[in-house]
Amino acid sequence: MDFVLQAALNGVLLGLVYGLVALGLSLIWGVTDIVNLAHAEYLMLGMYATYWLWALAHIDPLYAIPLVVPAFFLFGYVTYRVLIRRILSAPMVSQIFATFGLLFFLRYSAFAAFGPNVRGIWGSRLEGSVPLGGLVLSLPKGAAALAALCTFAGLWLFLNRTRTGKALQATAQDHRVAQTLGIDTEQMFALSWGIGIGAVGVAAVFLSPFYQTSPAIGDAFLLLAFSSVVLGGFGTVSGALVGGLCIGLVENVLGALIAPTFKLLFVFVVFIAVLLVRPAGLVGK
Amino acid sequence: MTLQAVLLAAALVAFPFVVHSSFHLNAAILVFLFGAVAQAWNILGGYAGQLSFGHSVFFGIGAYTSSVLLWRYAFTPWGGALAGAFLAATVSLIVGSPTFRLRRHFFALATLALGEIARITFLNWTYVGAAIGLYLPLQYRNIGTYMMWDGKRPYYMVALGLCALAVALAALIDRTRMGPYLRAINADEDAARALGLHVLRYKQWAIATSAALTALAGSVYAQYVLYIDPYNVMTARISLLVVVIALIGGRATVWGPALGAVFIVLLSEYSRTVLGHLGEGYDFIVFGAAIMALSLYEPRGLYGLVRRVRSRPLPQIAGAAQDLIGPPSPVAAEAVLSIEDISKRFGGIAALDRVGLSVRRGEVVCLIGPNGAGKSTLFDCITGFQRPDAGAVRLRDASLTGAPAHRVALLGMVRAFQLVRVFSDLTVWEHMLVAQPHRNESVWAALRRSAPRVEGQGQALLQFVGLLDSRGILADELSYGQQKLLAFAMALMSGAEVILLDEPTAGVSPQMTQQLIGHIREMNRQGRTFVIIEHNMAVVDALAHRVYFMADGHILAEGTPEQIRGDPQVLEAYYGR
Amino acid sequence: MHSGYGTREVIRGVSLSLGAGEIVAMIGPNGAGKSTLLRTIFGFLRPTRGTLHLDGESIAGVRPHQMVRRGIAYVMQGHNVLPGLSVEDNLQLGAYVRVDRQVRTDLDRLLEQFPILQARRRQKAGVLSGGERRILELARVLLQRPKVVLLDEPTLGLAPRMIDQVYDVVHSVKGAGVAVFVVEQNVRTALRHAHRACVLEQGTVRFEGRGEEMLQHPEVKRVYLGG
Repeated sequence: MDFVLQAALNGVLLGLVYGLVALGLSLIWGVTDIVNLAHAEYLMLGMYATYWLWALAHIDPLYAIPLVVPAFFLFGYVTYRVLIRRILSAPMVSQIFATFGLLFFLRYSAFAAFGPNVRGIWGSRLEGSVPLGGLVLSLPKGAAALAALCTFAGLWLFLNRTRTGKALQATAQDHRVAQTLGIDTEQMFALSWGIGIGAVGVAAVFLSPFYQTSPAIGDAFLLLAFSSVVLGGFGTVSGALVGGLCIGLVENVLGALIAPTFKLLFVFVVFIAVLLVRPAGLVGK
Repeated sequence: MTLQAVLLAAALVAFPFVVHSSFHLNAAILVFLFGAVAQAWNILGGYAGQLSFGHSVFFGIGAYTSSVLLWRYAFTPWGGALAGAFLAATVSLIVGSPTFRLRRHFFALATLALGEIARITFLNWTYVGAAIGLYLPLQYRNIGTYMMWDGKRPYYMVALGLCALAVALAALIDRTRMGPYLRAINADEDAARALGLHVLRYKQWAIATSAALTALAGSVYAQYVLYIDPYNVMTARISLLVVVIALIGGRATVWGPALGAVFIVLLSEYSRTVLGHLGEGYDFIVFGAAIMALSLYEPRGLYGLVRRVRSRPLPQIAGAAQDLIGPPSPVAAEAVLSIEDISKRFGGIAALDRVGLSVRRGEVVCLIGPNGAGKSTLFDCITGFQRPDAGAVRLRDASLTGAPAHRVALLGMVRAFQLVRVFSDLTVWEHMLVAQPHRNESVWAALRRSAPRVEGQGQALLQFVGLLDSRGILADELSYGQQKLLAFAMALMSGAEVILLDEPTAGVSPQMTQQLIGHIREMNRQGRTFVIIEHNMAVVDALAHRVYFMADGHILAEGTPEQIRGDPQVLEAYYGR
Repeated sequence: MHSGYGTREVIRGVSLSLGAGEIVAMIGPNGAGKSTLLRTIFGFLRPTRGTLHLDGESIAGVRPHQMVRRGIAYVMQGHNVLPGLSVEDNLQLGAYVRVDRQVRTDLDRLLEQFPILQARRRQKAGVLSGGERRILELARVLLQRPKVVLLDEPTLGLAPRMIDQVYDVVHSVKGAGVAVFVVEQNVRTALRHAHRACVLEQGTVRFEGRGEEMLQHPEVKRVYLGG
């Protein structure tokens, strides 16, 4: 039974990180109505950025945050201005192709630049583990979960307690009405991409100490992020959090109970089940 | 066209006898196989618009089925490939039917997830070799009946044959009714339903055919490489590669995916020799950028760029134009359409409250009333686009209550929409083909050209509304008024007895309004029944035998236009107390 | 002004002027182009021809959110509240473009003036009834302190009592020296409250007039009921 509890703990910790990635996806989707198929590629690139800062400049991931996160905020902003802005009113098929092309572009840029090999960080300040009750709390996972929680809290405060945050929510709920209030929706769209990708940057930095990266990790993380979004309901901060936690638990607990090699399979099955059973917002053209 | 095709075929067949380099033959074989898969994907994703990111499942099923049957049961791969195709088609139907209703993104993601589920399953399934993979037994080499040879030339021929089959199928779809039907479903499912197309059946046909063809390619691939494992044949990489090929080559075109395969596979193979492993990275960066650019500028891919140069000739019409002039038909006494006590609530609000009306054969009935009265909702409820909470609808002696949209159209009542709906990427002529009567038409029957009689009817109707010379133009490029005329012609083409028009003159110039009035009057004279929602009272005065006045979900008054004008309830509804 | 959607011309040469403290109503049947006109004025649509001036300055080509800064408030037909935000948040967003320091006092005064908003201030705006939403929208307009207010069928779907309440607020808006341009489908309501009215049919203004005389005018009857 102990190993199930341990799996549950890990599931919660990882789930918070999945939720953070899902939050970025959900924010982008809510505000700009674009489903970002390339979302997980940003995670992959964020992990590479952290890795290279560690490998070449010997910067510990913990100190990489002030470098990576603002850079990725900018990355998201630029993605909006260069590509996304042009497909906002295009037919859905064109939007799918655009983000799909972006996925390919980013993934294979990494492939060409960094090669196919798996890269991992070791010896970071966030290594090791501590006992917690009868269980083991892995420090890097704990730190990642904590960072995710802090980011969730920060974003919640931003969205609900600041003028700009409320303007962002307004744009997400009805961008026409937002314009009648004087909100510059163009800026809001760009901001949502900046925040969405910035959040992915946070997740990437904190995943690096215990998760290896390669150009191919995008597929699994994309589905993990989407599973979290559809499960938790998109559009709310709490939804992404809850969805992420559920997916983390499904992955780890079912994996521990049934078979670890099938961890992701359970997640994907849940994903499809949710799509079929709870299609609010997911059905129709 | 035919001469070019013959020359091309001859060149392709002669190629392996002229070129002996193993490298080039290998490249060609991969081009044909992936070209075939891309063509197959195109049937579902390009024509029917269901973007699949999980075609690796079908490819893998084909590869594994024929290989396992050969390895464990010494069953010939020629038969094994067919078995694989059948299995893939079945899986596709099970998987596709419940997921078709998802929005395009989620269908794509669901198929991606299914692909991963399949991969992980096969990775752990010892019966098929799990992660170790499956080595095809080599003792069957050079026995023709086992699809296994030493040299590359026989594989080349098989792969070429498969690719040719795939292209031929695409050509068949494109040149018969199936092409316009699938593309109409892609463009606007609901509008296609409103014309009587059984959307689900066509999508099922598309996915099953696509899966079967992909599986055949998978089997040939397995026989060629002689070793398969989930990483080689069941990976997302293949699914996505196929999408890239089809997109860059050109969706919903006959030659696009094959062109794409030539371009991409050759580029990959050659860059790999030049740049080593990096080659795979660099060319895909370019493909990624190309797809982004294409999404912005030319959705038809390479094929679209080629096609821009050549202009499209006006489509030939096989049948002779029919005579549209018919004898006048008097208004009948009995009702052709009767609506009783239709009620519909949305949340707490009653959009319709026990609405009833009846229409006699040959009448023109107009439905008028202020904004929010429920007129369009009534149309939705009687044509199967919304389910009424209560009430009944009858068309002659058939009950339409609760019938799905396409069935209502098949039974003889067709609607046009308030904001005109035309199919993007279809020409005016193709619209008429889509609108033809579909009763007793099976899905497989769509793989034939329309009957000459039907084509003649289409020609006559286009002539009638003045769009015959525009028949080669994309409907998107027509003016709004012309689109309304096209929608009207489509409703007539369907052969429907009762035609529902929702604000047919809204947003239309005064001259065109007069034209429409004239057309409706002429068709009505010949016996067609019309129910029209209108705000333009001049139109109502010119056409209506009877008028129903609706407000707040109720029918408040009924009568001739004169009677309605004098009705105090009507005055109050517009003017207020 | 001429305007429309792609090849479809909806507004075919409309000329209007609004003075401060005036309520001008535009009536006419559906499909006449009334909403299209408002959208064009606010900048959601680009006019194909024509000019637009506010306080003597041309505002042609100004983007919608900037129109708000120039002093134009627009309450569209149907939904204008943000359902996921609280009533207070909705109201406060009315002051989004204001930079002065009196926002808080104005806000408190509005909450006092409209007790229904005070009572529900923390609830999500999505739970308000149709009439309550309208009140919220108009209170928000007041907070904006605009020069011009565009209203598109503000009384659609409302009970008669609510309609009176809505127009009370409209009058207080006008009282502050604001020009009000209201699109109404209900002829009597429009003519009762407006200083003058114009009739739009098929994209052109058929005629203008004042109050009661319009009510009896045979042209108005023809436009709505034919004959």
